[in-house]
Amino acid sequence: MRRSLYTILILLCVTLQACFEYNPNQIILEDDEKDLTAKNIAKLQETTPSETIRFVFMGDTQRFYDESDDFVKSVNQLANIDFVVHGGDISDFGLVQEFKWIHEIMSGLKVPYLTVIGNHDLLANGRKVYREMYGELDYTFEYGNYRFIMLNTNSREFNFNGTVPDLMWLKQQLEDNTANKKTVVMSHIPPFDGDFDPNLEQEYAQLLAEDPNVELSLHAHRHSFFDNEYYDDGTRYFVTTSMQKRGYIVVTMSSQETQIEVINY
Amino acid sequence: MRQTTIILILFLFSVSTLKGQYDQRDKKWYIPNHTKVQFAGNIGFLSAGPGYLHGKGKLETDLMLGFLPKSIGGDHIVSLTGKMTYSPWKTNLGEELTLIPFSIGPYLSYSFGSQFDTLLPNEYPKGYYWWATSLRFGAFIGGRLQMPLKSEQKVKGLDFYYELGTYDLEFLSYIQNTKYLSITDIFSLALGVKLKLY
Repeated sequence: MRRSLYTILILLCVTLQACFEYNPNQIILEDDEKDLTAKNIAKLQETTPSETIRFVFMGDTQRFYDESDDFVKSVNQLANIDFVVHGGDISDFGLVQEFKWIHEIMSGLKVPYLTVIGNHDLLANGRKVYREMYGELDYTFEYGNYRFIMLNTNSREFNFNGTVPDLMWLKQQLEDNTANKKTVVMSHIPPFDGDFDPNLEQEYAQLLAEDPNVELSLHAHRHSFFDNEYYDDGTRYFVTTSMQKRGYIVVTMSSQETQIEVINY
Repeated sequence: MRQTTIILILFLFSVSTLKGQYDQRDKKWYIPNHTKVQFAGNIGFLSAGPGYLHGKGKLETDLMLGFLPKSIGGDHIVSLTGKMTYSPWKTNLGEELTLIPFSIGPYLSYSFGSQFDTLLPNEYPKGYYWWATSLRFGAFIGGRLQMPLKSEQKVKGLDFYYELGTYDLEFLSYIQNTKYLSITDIFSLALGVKLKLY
């Protein structure tokens, strides 16, 4: 009897994907679920960039796995995409299980993907999960003649304490661009949103407007498309929609121009 | 501090259950009928605590203190869980063994930690996040085997149980994504022992 009980339990273990869970807020990751920002930048840089680059910007996968899975299928049909950027709110509740599901879905992409952190990703143990799974909350990478600055702008999650977004760091990253590469700044919350620290809004806009290399400021969070030179200072702000609304954008950049194509799938 | 106090109270409570008189007739209402020790089930790596038997012996109410060490769970988390188990049927498998083929129950689990909130902090507009990150409501089904021990011992019997459980946020994720997620994605297994005292 005892033995057959044991056998039944083993069988149950095999059948169930996550056999034992200790707490919804546990942070237990496989090796291939760790340090993904560094790994995916390395993977991206194995490819040779052409003069014109193309990347997908999407966001807000939170609790919309069916739609996110369809997004991957849609992107995989496009030609000449170099990489995909997730604009934040990977998870809805900041739980490791959600991050794992989204990573599993995004791993179906033919190209590497990078992320910025969203406000929902900072809930509960989400910040620790993001750090272990992806890496730094603010980081920069280059691809060909282009520079990408990835910024945490989730000010409300830090109680508007004046440190988020880290504009000192942003200024440094803009200044470090000695080769004058065309620059895109990406973050979850746009500066004109109520969840962005109002004391830092003007300074953010000014930093971007005063830098001639800055092409675009890309965001998510609002679950609808928005495209405007919001501050009438020459900087274009583009907000993508959520996976629930089944839309994303394709950004094509060359030395002459930057084009944004909206795709609804 | 609050955490340490609760741990201390539970510890003293558990010890008191082992020191009292062991006759059912003399049992004071607040003395627990049993103690459970559980592995996994989203209420700790290990959890343990006192419990009561009521509802004609078919209903158990347990208070479990759970621990998840950082070395195993990536973060050190202490949780306190209130749990009920309803077991409607029993089958004797001989003198020494009883089978409870089916149990079902809900639980409410609180995780301690400054990163978990019960009420929405002041910096958020009303209704900004609709759930409490510190509290998880869950449910499970399971079954168990009961073995009586010699009645003059402190522990009158042992139950070995398993449970398959899920919780609110995982369940919600599943019902909205039945194409990508399967029901097995949201259930996890727990194993436990009940020490019957009265």
